[in-house]
Amino acid sequence: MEALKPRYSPTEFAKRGRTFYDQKVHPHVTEADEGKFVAIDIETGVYEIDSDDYTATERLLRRQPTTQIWLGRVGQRTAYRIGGYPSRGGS
Amino acid sequence: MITGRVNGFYEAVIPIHLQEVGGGIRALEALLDTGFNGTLTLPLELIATLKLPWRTRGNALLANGREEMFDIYAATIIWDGRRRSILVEAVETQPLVGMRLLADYDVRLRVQPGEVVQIVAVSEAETSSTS
Repeated sequence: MEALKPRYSPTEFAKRGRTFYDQKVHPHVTEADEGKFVAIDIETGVYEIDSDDYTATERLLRRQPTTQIWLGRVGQRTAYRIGGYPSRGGS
Repeated sequence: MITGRVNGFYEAVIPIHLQEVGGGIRALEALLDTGFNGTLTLPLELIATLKLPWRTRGNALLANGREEMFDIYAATIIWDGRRRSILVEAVETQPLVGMRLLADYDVRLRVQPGEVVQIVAVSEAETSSTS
C-alpha cells in the first residue's frame, strides 16, 4: 500500500476538520466523551472517537485506508497542549 | 522502572527507545514535560530517520496562547520493557515526553542537578509500598 501523505494544506485540514466536527460530531457527543480524541476524515466527515489518540486514528484508517485525518478533542480547542493552559480562553 | 537524571538546566531527562521501521531500536534522550498533554514529540529529521508513517494533522495550543498545526506520525516505543503504539507530534525541540505516556506511572524526581528521576508503574509502586 502506498504511504499515506497529507493532500491538503494545514489551513484546509483545520477548516474542514472543524466544520465536520461542528456539523457531524458535536451534536452527538455526551458528557462521557469529554476529553476523548476525534479522528475525522476531512473528505467525507466519517469519524472515530476514542480516549486513546492512536486507537482513534487507526480505527478510522482501517475503515478508510486513504483517509486524510484531522485530529481533534471533545470539549477542547485543540487536540493537545504543549506548555499548559494560557491565562485566558484555554478551553 | 525507567531511570533518568535531572540535568544542569533543571530538566528531567530520561532514556527512551523507539522502534525503527525495518526493525532496529533507536535510543534517545527525552525531557519530561508535564505541560504537554500528548504522548511524545520528536523533531522532523528524527521522524524521517526512523521512517515513521504519517497519520494525521492536529492543532496544539502552545504556551504563548497560539494554536499551531502539527503533523502527527505513528510510532512504537519500548516503554518500561513493553511495546506501545503511540502517536508522535513533529515538533522542532528536543524530544518531549508528555503526560499521556506517563499515565499510570509514579514519577519521582529530586530537582537538583545530577539527581535521579524514577518512573515506576503504579501497580509496581503499590506492591513495593505494601510489602
